[in-house]
Amino acid sequence: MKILLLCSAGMSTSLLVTKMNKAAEERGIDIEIMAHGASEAKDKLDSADIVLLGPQVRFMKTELEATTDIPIQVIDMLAYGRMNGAKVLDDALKAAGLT
Amino acid sequence: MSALVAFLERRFVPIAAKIGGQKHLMAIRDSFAGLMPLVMVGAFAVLLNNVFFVPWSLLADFIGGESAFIEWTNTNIAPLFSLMESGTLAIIALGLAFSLGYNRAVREKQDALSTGLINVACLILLGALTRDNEIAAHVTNFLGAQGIFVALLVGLIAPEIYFAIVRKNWVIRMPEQVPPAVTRGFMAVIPGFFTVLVIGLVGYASDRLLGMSIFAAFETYLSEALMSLGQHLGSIVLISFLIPLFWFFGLHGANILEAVMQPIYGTLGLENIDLFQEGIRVVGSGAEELAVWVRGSWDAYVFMGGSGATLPLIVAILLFSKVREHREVGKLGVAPGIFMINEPILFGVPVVLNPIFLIPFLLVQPILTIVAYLATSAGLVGPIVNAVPWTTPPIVNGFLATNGDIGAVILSIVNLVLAFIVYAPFVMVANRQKQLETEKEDKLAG
Repeated sequence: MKILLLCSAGMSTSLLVTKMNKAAEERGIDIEIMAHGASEAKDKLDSADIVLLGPQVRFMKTELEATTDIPIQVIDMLAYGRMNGAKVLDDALKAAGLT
Repeated sequence: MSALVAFLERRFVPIAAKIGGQKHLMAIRDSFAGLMPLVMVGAFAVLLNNVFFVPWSLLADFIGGESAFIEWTNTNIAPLFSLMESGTLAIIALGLAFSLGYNRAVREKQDALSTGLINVACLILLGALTRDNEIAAHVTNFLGAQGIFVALLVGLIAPEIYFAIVRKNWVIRMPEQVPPAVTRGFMAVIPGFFTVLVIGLVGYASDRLLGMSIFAAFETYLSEALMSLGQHLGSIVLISFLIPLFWFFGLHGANILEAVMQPIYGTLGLENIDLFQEGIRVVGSGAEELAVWVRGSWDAYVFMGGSGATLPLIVAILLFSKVREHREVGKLGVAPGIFMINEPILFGVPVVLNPIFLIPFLLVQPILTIVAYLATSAGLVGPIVNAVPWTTPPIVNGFLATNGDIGAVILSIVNLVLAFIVYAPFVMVANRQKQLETEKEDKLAG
């Protein structure tokens, strides 16, 4: 599953990405996570199966939903802040209909 | 308190989200961000000169501006880096015009390259290449910081004309066999012609009726007023207050306000760099004086660890907090916090939507701002004359940004301590609240 992770500059997400990859490995799921700043969103949309938005850019959800059918999910605030890769991954799998 | 927060969240967030998502503001933000290659390269070149190679550098403060080494570097090395600056920082408005056209077109799904190029054309024809008035006479054109405001206006208006004409379908269409590059060129002709014509009329009218270019007119009539308004402590404190207010509701405050901060304070910052190079040392709000407050001032003295000065909060948590989750998040947040990244703390403690931390979070930045502003305008701390990356850690940031002013180091430390004092009581309140919660749970459990 290809996940597109968007936050404001891509800096706070890198640790989260590491943790999500670890969680995916533990669950035996094959995922590829691309983390980008929100301004680069438009070009990267087509390559993903699901788009995860950092809570601080959640206002982009409606705008992005208008341009694509791919599921878009705002990451849970506490999970994001506490870098809970497992929870973010599980939420994403659920939203993509893959649990 | 929680009811108040919930009420504010219902009312405030949609408006704030709308502002944050407004396409022109986003274009401004993205376009300034897109200029980073130019700004950072130029700033680094200037930084090297200001630290090592010119008679007023930090190194010269130690070994003497007259020393043989400095004389040699000033003649042989410094000009190289000045040359680099002349192609980067010195053409920032040009870059902005292109960047704005490009970003607006990407957003509107139009031809980005053409829009960018037409914007550049519009900027130049308005008189960007020569300066014919007295203000800031040490610069001979408007391609750099002095032209940012006009570049901003033109950069947003010209694409609208361009897109309007494209949408009316007044374009030359080529048969399918024609190569795409050629087709694109022809499609751009009519919209481009009219866009440049309209802007050309504006420039022409300015020359005929005002006797000066739009740039000069702006500089003569508006620039000083705008910059004074920007330098007013009230405006600065307002911005410092709004940023955590947006963040409290989980919206990226600095990001949203960049559309205002960059054009005004970013420009002042770039002008400070120029003026400092020219040898100007006087601090004030005139056109030939170093501005007290620039974009970098927030990074150096207010965003201590990120929006809301969260690095001292982390310290307070690690020292005083007995709440396990807070301590864990604190430990996680130290490393990124040193480099001014604080989403883990804001969302993890959480500070966002947390009534306990509402008061310190909203108050700490205005307090730090007022202290830093007064210190700088009183001359206790030197002005900011270098652009350093925003992720530079506190104290180091101030030191480099002011080109080695010890006052900046002291101010940074003072601000860190102040923020700590503001947050500490509330960390203890959080302790108390957690304690009460656990007691309640224990009671319920029997």
